[in-house]
Amino acid sequence: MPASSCQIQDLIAPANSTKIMRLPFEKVLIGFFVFVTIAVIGLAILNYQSNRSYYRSVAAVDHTNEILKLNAKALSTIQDLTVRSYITTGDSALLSAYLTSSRSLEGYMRQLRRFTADNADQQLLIDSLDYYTGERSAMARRYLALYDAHQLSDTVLSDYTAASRTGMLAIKKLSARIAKNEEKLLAARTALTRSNRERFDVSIELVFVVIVLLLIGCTVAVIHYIRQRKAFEQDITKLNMHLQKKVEELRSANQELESFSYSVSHDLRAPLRIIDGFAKIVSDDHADALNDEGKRFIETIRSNAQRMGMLIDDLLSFSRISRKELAIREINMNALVENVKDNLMLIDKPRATISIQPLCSACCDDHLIRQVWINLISNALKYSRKREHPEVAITWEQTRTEIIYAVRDNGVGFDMQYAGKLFGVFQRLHKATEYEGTGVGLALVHRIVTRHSGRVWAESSPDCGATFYFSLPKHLN
Amino acid sequence: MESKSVEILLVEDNPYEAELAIRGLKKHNFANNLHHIDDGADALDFIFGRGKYANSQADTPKLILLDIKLPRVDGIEILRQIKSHEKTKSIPVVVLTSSKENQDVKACYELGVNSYIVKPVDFDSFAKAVADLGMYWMLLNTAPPR
Repeated sequence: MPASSCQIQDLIAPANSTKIMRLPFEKVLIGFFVFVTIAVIGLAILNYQSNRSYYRSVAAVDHTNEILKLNAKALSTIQDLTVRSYITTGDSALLSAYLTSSRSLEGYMRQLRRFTADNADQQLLIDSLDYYTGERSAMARRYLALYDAHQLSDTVLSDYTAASRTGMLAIKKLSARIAKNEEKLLAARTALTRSNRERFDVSIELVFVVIVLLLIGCTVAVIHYIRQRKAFEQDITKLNMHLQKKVEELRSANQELESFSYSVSHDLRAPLRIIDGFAKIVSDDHADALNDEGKRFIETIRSNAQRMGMLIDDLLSFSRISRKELAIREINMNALVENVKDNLMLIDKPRATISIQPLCSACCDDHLIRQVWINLISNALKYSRKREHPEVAITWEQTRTEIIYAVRDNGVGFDMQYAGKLFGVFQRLHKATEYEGTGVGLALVHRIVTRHSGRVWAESSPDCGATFYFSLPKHLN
Repeated sequence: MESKSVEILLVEDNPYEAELAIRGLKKHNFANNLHHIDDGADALDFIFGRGKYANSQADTPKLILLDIKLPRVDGIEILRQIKSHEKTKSIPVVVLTSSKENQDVKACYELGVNSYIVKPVDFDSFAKAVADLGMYWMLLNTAPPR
């Protein structure tokens, strides 16, 4: 047996070691997934932010371009803010072009001012631009008035041309400075847009990296668990095979035991009967030829043959009861014990009084538990029969899980230091000459109760009676 | 010997056991027409009038006392053959054995044994059991009509 339990340990060991291996792997896996989750959240934030700042910088670039366009428009409009062509040609279409420019310039300037509201430098430049534009506009109006009053002369006209050119020069310079400022801004904003775009691209690339990592992680985990599962399956198959082998071994051992007890039953009893039989014949038919000593020897032969017969019978019933399959059903314990008591009173006619407390019913094999009661009660009767008033009391109690029955007597009792031997086969605490018996009864009780998953124990002290307890589980399947 | 009517057939391989059984029966005068056979195959020949018993004019016995462990053919097989033949199935068969094994008891009753007696080790009980069964089957019990 120790060898085989060792083998089972060996078989279980690999399963255990894979279990130990699994722990760090799972920790790594959990760590990995936590990392991936954090990375995904971080990337999402980064992505969102870089995306936003990218679009913001794109909008800023657009804004700057818009200002540049406006600036250009404004410049060309300012250029048109002259009545020189009209007053030299007198073409009314040119006058209306001047008027249109003068009207739309107001809008452009307002827009330009609004668009650069966040830029004090540009505002200052625009203020100057406004001033020169105002000058130019005023000059146009003045010359227009002169034209209307027909007070224009070539000198006046060339003065206008010169003044207009000077004004326009300053205006162009201003406009160029505004444009230059905006272009500087545009360059900076375009660079920012490019870097934002790059940041966004990097964050998208990182998302791909994380997805690939996630896929690799999942694949590794799946492969690992598939391998582990296969290893477990192999272990289980191995254990099952081992178990199957053990079952076979057990079965054959059981069969051997069966044939053993069968042949014991047949072959050992017959010679004993013959010994006893012929000894009896000698004492019956040839008593005359024997002296008293011879007759005593014959009786010794007979009594020992008979005792050995009893031992064999008890041993066989012990092995038979051990092998018998349990037939569990609910038993009316009271009726059973009353019946056992009646039978014992009928056979042994003891002087004892047997008191039975109303007993709780239990689930058990009634044939086997009957044997337990017979053995315990007849034991109690046997060891109390030398008392003046032998008494046997049968009681019960229960715990949460079991029902405990007790048989108490006021007999000779026993020393608790030998209690360990009580339930062993052929173990006796009293001499055969004092109390007959083979020492199988309590072993049988022990075997039957154990087979019911119950417990059996005893309490006693010499000359103070003994109490034998046995328990049956409340839920016996 | 073969010609006289046999009342009890004892099939028992152990000569000492047989001697003790015969002694027990003799005490009560049941052993006058007893025939003892110590082999299973011979017992079948005797019962069915075959082999060396082919020419015997003996009637079928009134009672067969049968051991289970026997040379060549065991008691259970003999019982099976007795109980499956029209001519012999009404003969009372008492299995007289040392075996208390459930499988034997069950097999014998399934085959229709009339009685199953486990021989006690104690000779006094054994002698009483043998005498009782002689008394019961030979005197008290009414045999089936021939």
